[in-house]
Amino acid sequence: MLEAILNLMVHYSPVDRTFAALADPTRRVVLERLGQGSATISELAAPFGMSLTGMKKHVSILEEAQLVATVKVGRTRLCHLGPRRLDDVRDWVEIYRQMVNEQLDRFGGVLDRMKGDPQ
Amino acid sequence: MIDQQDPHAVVVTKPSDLEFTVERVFDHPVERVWAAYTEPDLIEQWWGEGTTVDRIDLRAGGSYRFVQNPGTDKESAFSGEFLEVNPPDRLVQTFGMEGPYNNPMTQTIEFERVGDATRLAITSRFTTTEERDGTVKYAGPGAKWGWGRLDDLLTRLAAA
Repeated sequence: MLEAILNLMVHYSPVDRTFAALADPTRRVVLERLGQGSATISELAAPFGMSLTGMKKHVSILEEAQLVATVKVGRTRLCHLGPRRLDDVRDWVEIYRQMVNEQLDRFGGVLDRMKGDPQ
Repeated sequence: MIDQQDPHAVVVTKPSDLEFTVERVFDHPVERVWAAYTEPDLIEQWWGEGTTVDRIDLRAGGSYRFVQNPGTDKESAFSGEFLEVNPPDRLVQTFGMEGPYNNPMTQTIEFERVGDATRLAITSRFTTTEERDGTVKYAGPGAKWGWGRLDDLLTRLAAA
């Protein structure tokens, strides 16, 4: 049964890490900002009036999820978008969308049959 | 520990910083549950995913290797060594998933007779608390899934 636990972990942990990283509005703004080009931790922290320590924490969560990569340049740390392309998240959302659509189609079919039924 | 609401509930606990325990009661005799864990043809049935038992040498110091989805791009192998084999009460083994995710651990499987039923408890011991914590999140759902298939097999065997 441990194999089932490990299979779940291998399969879902990257997506789980991504969702956890994206669940915070500050971190989503950081990603949008980095979409326009790389930035230092202090440049990322400034618009939020946030401490460097606070922003470092957010960046390290994004880094663990591979949504952000950082490189040390002299005494500052430069952040840019990481290697994660979110393909697995998109796939998960797509499978979910298909399930919901199929369910709505079935429900629509039931409504149509009810309409055709004089009862 | 047994859930009062549902006698077949999966219960996950953390007995130490390096371990988690998953337990559940099965309405089947302990010898059957032991067999499901140790006989190759039964393992292959409840592990699912086209599992084949590559080898199993059921004695202390013996090793085992099970392969899921062999020959496909989803192939994954689980292997380890038996440290203690005490039928039908207790099985201690190392357990690891081969490949990029290799997190070796020690598993103690306890088969406890509770009347005609069996209380099965698996304690997994990791090398670091971080590894334990990374895995324990998946213990509940994984156990419901894996042991659900075990329960189905035991029910089929009982009916045969």
